[in-house]
Amino acid sequence: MKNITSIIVLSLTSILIGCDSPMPVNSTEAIVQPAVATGENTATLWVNGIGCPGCIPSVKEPMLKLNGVQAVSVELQTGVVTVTLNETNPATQDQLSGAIEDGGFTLTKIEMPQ
Amino acid sequence: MKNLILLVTFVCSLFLFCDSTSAQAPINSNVAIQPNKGGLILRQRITVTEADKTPMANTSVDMTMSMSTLIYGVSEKFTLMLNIPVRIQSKTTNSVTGVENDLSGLNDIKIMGKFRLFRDDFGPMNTQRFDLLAGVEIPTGRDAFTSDSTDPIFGGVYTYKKDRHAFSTDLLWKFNTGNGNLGEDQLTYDFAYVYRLTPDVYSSNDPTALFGSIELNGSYETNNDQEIFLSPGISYRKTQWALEATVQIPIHQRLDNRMERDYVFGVGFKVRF
Repeated sequence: MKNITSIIVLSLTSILIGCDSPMPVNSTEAIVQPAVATGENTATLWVNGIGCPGCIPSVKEPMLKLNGVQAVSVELQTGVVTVTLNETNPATQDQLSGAIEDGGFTLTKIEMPQ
Repeated sequence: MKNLILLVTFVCSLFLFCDSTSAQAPINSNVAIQPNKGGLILRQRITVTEADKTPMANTSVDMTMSMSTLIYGVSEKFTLMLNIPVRIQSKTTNSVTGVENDLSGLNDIKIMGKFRLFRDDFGPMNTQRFDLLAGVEIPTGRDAFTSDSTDPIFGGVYTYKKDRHAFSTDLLWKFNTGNGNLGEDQLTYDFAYVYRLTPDVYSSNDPTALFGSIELNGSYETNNDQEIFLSPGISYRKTQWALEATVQIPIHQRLDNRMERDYVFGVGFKVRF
């Protein structure tokens, strides 16, 4: 029993250590965007199938790999994804749609900046 | 001794199939959710198992396992998983003689692929998906911990998620291509229900969730050994990482060739790179 207790304590400690360090690979992780695009360089996408917080990186990462994307925010409850595009050479609608597909989700509607 | 090694090795088998990587995922069961193309996840688990009844008279087993799983999204439909089980400690004690024996080392690793056959996203947070699972267990373990055979594994997993509720079920068959030295062909099956305890509604700024889960994890071997565990669990999830804890309690055991586990306690974390 002593050994079990020691192991549990050790594993919990390692978990806590693991939690302190990691995370945001993308600098946009901390960026909080409005849920619906209002600026000239934002696109708004309505996406189905984003199940929980753990799915959000699967939405963001494919988009952030696109050259024409500056930042991405995801509103989990509504499935609204707001994408801030580069002013010069912004990502196209097809690229954004493809990124959603790469994430494994379903795009239901997209609004590109005028 | 040979039998004991077989039994101890078998203890890990249920967990090794599990790859709940994301979404509203159960802890001990599979889930038909995959990371995005290029997504990489590390899942690390520590389990502690205690067993007082073994086929060897008057022998008990205390075992601690580390299970590391790397999950990589090859495409939006296909994921590769590498599962590396390491026995940190496996102590057998004979209550009559008082003799203790402690073993540790690498077990057989598994490489599994998950291919999505069906996806229906029917709401912002709602989906149902079905994935095929196929892979192989490779005899990489040290002498005492290997089957000495390359064993294929096939199966499938279905997940249904709606609002705060999620249900997953899976079925896997492992073909033992060896001479039966470390077990028979094995069927594993799971039923899992996961409920989002909090929040009621996700906030837009910091999506964080606490999930409660209840699972049935079963196994059947062609030598007629079978058991079913009831496994409550809890997990805390942020976007880039998650913590989880579970305990597995046996509710049905009919075992002639391996030990009866009293309980299995597991804690772990997942990190997304």
